[in-house]
Amino acid sequence: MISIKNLSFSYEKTLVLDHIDLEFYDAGVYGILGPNGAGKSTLLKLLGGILKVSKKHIYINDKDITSIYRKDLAQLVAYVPQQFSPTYAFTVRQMLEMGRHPYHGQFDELTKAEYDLINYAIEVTELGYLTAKYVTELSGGELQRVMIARALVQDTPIIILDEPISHLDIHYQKEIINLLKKIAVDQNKLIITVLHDMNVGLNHCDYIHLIHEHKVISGKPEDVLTIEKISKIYNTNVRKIKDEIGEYIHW
Amino acid sequence: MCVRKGELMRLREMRLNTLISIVLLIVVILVVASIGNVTVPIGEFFVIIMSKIPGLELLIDKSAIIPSHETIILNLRLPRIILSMFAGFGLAYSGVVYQGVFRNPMAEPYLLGVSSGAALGATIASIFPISIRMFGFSYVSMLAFLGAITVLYVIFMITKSRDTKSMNVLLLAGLAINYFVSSIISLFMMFNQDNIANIFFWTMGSFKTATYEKILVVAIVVIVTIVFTYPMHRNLDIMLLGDEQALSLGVEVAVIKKRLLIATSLMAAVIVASCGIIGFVGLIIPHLVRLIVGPSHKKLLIHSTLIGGIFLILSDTMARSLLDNKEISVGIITAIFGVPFFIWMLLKYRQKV
Repeated sequence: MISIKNLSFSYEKTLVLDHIDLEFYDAGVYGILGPNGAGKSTLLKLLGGILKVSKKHIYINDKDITSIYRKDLAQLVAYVPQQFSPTYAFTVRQMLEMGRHPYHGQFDELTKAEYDLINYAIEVTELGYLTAKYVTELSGGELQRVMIARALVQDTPIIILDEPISHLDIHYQKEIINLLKKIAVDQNKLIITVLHDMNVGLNHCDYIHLIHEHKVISGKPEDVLTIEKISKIYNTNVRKIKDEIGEYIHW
Repeated sequence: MCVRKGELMRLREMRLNTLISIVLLIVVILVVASIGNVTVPIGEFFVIIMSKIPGLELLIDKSAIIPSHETIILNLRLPRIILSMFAGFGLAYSGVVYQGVFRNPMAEPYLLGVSSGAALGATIASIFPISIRMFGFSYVSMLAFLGAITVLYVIFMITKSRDTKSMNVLLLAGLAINYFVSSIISLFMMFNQDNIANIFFWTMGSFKTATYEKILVVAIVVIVTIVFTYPMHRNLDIMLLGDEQALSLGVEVAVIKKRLLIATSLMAAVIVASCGIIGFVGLIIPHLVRLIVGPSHKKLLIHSTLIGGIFLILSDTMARSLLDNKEISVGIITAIFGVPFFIWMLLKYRQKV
């Protein structure tokens, strides 16, 4: 679905991504891991069209991302930012309605189907009790769920998320991860998520891209997140613990 | 179904509120038309207006009209009321747009040099006077407009050449240029001290020179600008969330911001040329209305525009009628009466800011 070819990117003079090749083949949950400063967030922003990329490096469905109109790109890729501190008092519902922006001209109102979609997103992210609240009143975790709900409302085949569960308590961590896995299967979506916790990557992702020192190691979680590789890349000795549910990495 | 009904309710509530604002505007116009050194009863005002509408004039009994009243209403008060209304519309509207684009409640239409440029133009005009008029605009007004768009252009060019999208750079460039231009004005004044009073009172703003020609120009500019930019209200909402989210929701942030700023700045320049630099309306009215209707621009733009018109009509009425035979500059009124009211609203609704 997405293929990245020979992609480099630098902020001013700091090189962040250096000739990277990556593939996101089809529906599923892809985890992006790597040490701080490896360029994970930068990669997501390039995919979401937030940072400008030069021609012929990123292709979505075989189309060069630079040739896709912004509104059309917003119908393909939904972006959930890592952190967001709202300063204006929109209600949660207003925030979710904004997710339909890519599909609308200047004057048309939302349709019945779109309201159904919004209600579905509210339901699966358990936001029902918050819809009339102002986003300025929400906790970090609540806001995170609103942003994920809005990505669902945006109804794109690709959703990219920057550390979506870092601000959530374990209840919502579990719910959101399960939700992402479920929509990847049920709705055939490509979910690309930057992860902080490699155990989530190990146990819940279909595929892992491990970025480090401008290079990428890709593959199944159990092949990429090995004791040897992690110890080397993060420069920390780790060990693996196994139980009947899964494997866990410990330092 | 239930949701849809809720949406309709919201829509209806909004229409109703808009209606209230419009009715309020009309009532204000009727009331203030009768106020002044000479009191003209509202009934007589009606008759005077009706008698000027083609087709209706035959049905109206003109004997009730006192000729001097007719002159006062049609030639003096009505032009001022209409001009102050459109100026209020335009200043409040561009205030909302500026605050939205800059994501900063301190932003206002004079931020990018419209006011300092206009003042510079007016200063130059009063030092090198020529007696020409165009569309009801005096030579001072014309140079004020030229000054405003020149400074606007300079500020846009400075930020463009740096190839930066950052609104902060634009904002700081605006502030710096405003100071720069102000000191040039002071320099001019130093060597032309006879003109200081004239320039000073021009910059404080007045609707004394309102004519129907002038109204026509201002009204067309205000209406065209609003019709052109109002459809972007959803983009403005989304841009309040920050550029990243706006981009990812399909908003061409740089293009939209540029369009909005250029259109509303030009409108503000025309208004300033017509009536001087009336401060406060473009800063406070958007803020005030946001406290009541929330940040969504669909409502915010409409209500701010209407309330801005009402506010400036009332301010000008005070400006022309508070003292018996002297006019107070309307810019003084907007601040002296507006600020306490604004502070009161701020405290009352502070949880919604």
